[in-house]
Amino acid sequence: MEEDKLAAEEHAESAAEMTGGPEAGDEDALSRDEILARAKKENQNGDERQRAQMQWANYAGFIAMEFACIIVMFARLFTSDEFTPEFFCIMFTGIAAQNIVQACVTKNPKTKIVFIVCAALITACTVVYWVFWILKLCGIQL
Amino acid sequence: MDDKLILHNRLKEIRAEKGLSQGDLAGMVGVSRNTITSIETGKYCPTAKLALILCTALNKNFEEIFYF
Repeated sequence: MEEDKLAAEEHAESAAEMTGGPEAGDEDALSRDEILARAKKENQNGDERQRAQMQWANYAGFIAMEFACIIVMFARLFTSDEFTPEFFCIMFTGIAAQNIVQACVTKNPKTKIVFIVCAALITACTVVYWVFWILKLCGIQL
Repeated sequence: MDDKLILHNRLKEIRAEKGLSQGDLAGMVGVSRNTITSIETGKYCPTAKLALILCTALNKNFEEIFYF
């Protein structure tokens, strides 16, 4: 235990020398025990690899849902002449949300403009389809 | 030729040197044992944060564990 503590102190000093990082007496620098305790607390609900896997799963789920919407939408289109805005609503809401988040998180100004334009256009389409759906629900024929 | 820049590591050797099992190290840093296995086998590349936490847990500098 004592050896481990000494090694930790030596490691902190040499790391500080090499990287220009915090030195032993720095107020902001956390101790080894505190770093490990905080890391454990942070990872209580799954570590970063598990979170990354979850993000991939969510993304795959989103893509699968969009494909399912397209398939059902076309099936309905060919089997009945009825216009089905609900599938457009689901599809466009998902894509609009994706583009809005991309526009918010993107830092590069050129890319940001592209995402803002895409988000605006898709959100406009989404609103139109929601309006169509509400009108259809109210029994108003277009 | 594959020009991808891959971050390799000596985590397995250093962990063994310290006499720690994958479970012990996972418990120390609060990640799953599978995550440690994935890092050791190169299937998962940790973020800078987790890499530095591993360095802290093993009392090593970053360059001693990770290399290109």
